[in-house]
Amino acid sequence: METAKLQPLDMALVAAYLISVTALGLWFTRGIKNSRDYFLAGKTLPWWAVGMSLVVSDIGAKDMIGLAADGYRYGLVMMNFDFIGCAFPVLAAAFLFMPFLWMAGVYTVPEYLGRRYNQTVRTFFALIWALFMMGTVGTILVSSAVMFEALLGWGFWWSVGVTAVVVGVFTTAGGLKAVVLTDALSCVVLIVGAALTCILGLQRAGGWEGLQTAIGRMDWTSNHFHLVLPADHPAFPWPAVLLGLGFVLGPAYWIGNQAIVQRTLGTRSQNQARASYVFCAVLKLVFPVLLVLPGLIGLALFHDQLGDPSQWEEGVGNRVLPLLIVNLLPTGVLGIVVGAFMAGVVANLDSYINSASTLVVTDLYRAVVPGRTDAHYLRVGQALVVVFLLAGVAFARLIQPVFGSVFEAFQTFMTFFQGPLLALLLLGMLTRRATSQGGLAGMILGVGTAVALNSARFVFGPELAVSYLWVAWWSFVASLGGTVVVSLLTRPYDEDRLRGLVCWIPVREEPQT
Amino acid sequence: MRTLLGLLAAASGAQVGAASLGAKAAFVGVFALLLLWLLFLPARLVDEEAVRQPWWRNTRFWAVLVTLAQIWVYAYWG
Repeated sequence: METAKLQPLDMALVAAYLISVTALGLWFTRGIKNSRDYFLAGKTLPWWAVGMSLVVSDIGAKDMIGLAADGYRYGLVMMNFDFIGCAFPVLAAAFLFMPFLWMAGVYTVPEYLGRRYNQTVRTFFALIWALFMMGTVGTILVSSAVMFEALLGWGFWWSVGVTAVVVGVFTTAGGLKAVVLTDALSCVVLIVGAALTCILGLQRAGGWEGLQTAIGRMDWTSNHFHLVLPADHPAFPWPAVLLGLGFVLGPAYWIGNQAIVQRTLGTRSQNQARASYVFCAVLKLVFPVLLVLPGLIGLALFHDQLGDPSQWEEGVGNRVLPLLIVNLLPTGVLGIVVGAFMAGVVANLDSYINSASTLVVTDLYRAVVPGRTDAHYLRVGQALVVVFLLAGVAFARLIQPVFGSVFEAFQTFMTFFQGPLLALLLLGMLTRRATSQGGLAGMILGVGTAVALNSARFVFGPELAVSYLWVAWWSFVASLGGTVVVSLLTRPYDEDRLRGLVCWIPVREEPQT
Repeated sequence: MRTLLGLLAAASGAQVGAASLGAKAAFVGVFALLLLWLLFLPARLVDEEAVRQPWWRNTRFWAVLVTLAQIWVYAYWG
């Protein structure tokens, strides 16, 4: 496979990014005195940095490679992940859920669920999140290795090693503050690099009209310039996109994902928490274009080499973006773009590792080993960053030969519990009537439904495979129904028990920051 | 179980045999509802009561702008 030849200027730019991000991260390790400083940055984060961090925490190598491949295969419909799946839930969360979670003064989403429902629900979701995050760290490392191999000819262990060392150094020492402020730098590099790829690619393809003409000539691309596809489309039927992605997966991700929510909990005030989410929504208007357009450009320019995706063997889709980069970008620009991809990997990985550590210490370790000093929990949190990184590396090696499309793997992981999590969060935050027993029943029913639907393809064959978007929707519905029915059959909580846990029963004053 | 799953998958598809215009309207409609919600949101939920912010620091203004952009995106590209 053809790989990029980095010239000295390119290498200098990549090195400059890596040194800057490490130095910046280490600079912000100063002033970490307790676990609150480490896990919530002492609640001192500015809204603009959190907004940028939210964007890059959501976009890693898996999205860059996966969305370019899927953009080639399916076209504009992939932008729905950042439009209906992001703008809609992010704006709703900005004005309703985030300021409320900030006021509740929690460190983690399972901590809120534990206070609203019971310890079992908290422990269950904390365990699942921990497993999910380890899986996510693995998928991030695999996809970054795929990218660096295709782009630079690096081997698996070299790619994983460089990524793990850079991220491990400042994430272990600096906690959330180092993560968020280095993410802000990575966000700028990512936008510049991705924009340059799109601009140069469009120029080569003859502009937007040239792109449309080239793709329009193919006989299998009739839906490529539509965001909303027919109801019988095999992969992205519009009802599943609207209900599964827009109403379940998107909201669950932006309201219930610890890696996302945690940085917002570290802002200075409720208003800054809200502003960070709105800023994220503004930035997210351009990201779908930056991530999906390379797939369409690749289709227009390299269809002869890559061919029809229905004939693709394992891993061919992962070549779309590297092919574009290797063939289009001149010296200097190549360095910026490679730096941008490293920025995406670093920002994505540090967020998940930092959040996994927060979650395990707050929701699991403190329950098992209570009554220790704050310094002890801080040390455990820092040690867990290293443990999660190493576990992620081991998991990456394990899944590397199995998962062809890492993006789909990521979505499959999420669907097992995103629907039930969202149902419990919505009922917990918005209604007084949801009870502990109801939450437990809803959780079991929802996760059971997701597991059953996901297992269908293995038990009954691929013809009965259920799209992950439908799995998310039906597990959400099952969990919602189970929680409502059992809650109505059990004794409701009194108002004092729910103060600060339900949107309509606020705490009496804002916690001190 | 096989029958149940088959019915479920079929029901999911069957619920929505709508034309593409209806599909586009559904997406635009979601953002139109969000727009209405944002416009009529009580001031206490957006911290506008204490100090009047200039427009460029008003989170509601930017949220409305993003929502309008999304309505245009789905109306044009849907």
